[in-house]
Amino acid sequence: MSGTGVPVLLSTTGLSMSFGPFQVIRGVDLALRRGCRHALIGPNGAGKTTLVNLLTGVLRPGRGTIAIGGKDVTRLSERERVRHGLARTFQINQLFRTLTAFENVSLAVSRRLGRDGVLWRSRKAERRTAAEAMGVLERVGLTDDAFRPVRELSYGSQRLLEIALALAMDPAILLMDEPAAGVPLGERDRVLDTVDALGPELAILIIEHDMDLIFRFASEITVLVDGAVLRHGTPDEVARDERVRDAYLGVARDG
Amino acid sequence: MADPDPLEAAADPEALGRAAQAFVRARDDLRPADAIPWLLALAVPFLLSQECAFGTQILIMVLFALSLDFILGYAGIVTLGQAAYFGLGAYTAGLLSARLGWNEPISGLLAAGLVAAAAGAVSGWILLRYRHLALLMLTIAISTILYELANTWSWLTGGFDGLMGISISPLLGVFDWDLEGRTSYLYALVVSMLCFLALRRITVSPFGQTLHGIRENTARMRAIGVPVLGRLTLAYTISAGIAGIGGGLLAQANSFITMQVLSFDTSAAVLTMLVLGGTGRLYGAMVGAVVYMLAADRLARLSPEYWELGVGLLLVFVVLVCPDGLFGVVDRLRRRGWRWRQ
Repeated sequence: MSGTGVPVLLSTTGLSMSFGPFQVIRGVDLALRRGCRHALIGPNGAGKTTLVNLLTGVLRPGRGTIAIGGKDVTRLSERERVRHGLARTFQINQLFRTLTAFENVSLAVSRRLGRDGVLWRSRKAERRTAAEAMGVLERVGLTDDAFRPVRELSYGSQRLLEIALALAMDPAILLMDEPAAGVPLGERDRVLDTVDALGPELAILIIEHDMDLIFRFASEITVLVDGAVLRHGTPDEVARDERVRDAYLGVARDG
Repeated sequence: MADPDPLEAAADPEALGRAAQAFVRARDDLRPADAIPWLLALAVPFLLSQECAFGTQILIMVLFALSLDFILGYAGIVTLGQAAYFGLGAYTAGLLSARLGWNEPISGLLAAGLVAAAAGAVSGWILLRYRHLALLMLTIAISTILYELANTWSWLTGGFDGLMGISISPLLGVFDWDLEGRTSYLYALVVSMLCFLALRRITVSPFGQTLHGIRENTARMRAIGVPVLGRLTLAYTISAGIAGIGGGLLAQANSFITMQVLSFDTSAAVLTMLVLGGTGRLYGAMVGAVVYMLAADRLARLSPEYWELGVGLLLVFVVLVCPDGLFGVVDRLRRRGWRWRQ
């Protein structure tokens, strides 16, 4: 997993943030290496989604720094961080609901190709965007649904499209906020298999509540409790840690 | 229309790409039917030549409604201040002629479009940081400010009495403005058709798709790295420019304008037209403007005092019976036909 020779793509040092008097993130240090499968777990309200929003630039930290590929991006906007190879998926679907799956992905592809502000059509560019968008849909197994509007897709397909929109940006780092959340049992395998099959060179941070998915997928785990890192280690180390069991695993088992 | 069939495409990347392109072309390419409204409009001076003057007014409102549809229907920018740019265009073309003696129509029209577009760029860059109700209020504020400026500078604009003394030289130095208004009509027709074609081209461009995306989900557009404010400002600028050309046409065609062009009533009227016809498809703006103008004209003849009540009832009827607007009915029938053929 995290051999020291593998370059760190995304890192934070002493990241902290408050909403008014409430400190929601407390001095988080995190390092995502190329190819990592890093799970971020913790009870509800631990600050997982807030941390993702800090990483992507939706929120600004009070203290601490964020670096992508060694470059300090703490003060850069969401858009500039995307350009540095950072992509995310959302816990609650953020799709273009009246557009088809193909059109959804095309929007992201045309942004990546720098054509989202172009005022004229070009057959050549159109062909390239279409081919790349279909390629992304194929990677998540959605080609059969390509020309159906999002609102007609099954929930599992919508979750896959959520991933496709991030993949269309051709990221180096992918942050996934509960990709399997709410997916009915019959469609779960499709989503999990897709997550499993993501490019081995991608650095992936995944927030998940589902322990099966985490232990199947993750090579390292960070446990976040009350906005601070309680434990970081391999799945085995984390599973054996009594504090983690008390704070989270036990709770999850009981509840 | 080429129907993309995803099942036929299987997993062959070439075939997938072809299916996607067929889908894009079916969605975006012009069809023969797109010529129908323009052929109808072209027939007016030959079949109904006594209606040319009224027809010109309708064409101007079609153009104005198109400008609104571009931002409201495509980019999702809600505004009740579109008259600001329409009025700026009208006063630009009007003042050029009445105060500076610049009577050449085409350059006057371009100036109207450019001034309005510049105003759209500056105001858009400020107010498009806001959305929903705040944005709506700001658009009203901007048009109200311009209205009051026109009132305050009545030495320049003529104030409530209106701006008189607008005259224009023959079109291209050749075509004189006849009493029937046939030249005016054809002039307005060519200008609005060119503007329509430009808008249509933009709506099917990657930028047009980007506007769809922003309307549907701004947060996701930010997450894929799109500079949302910049894109919206560009759309607003284009729309303001088109509205300004519409206003310039009005000043030139009527040789007279009043502060009405900047008023809240004018913004509300153009929004009513768009809702009547249906948003987000350009043709709704055409149908809505034509229906509104015809209804207002006929009803005003029946009752000069209460015609607005009639327009209001029409609006209520349309919103209740076909919430996608009158053109939405056409759209729905066409989609049903497409499904049936599949």
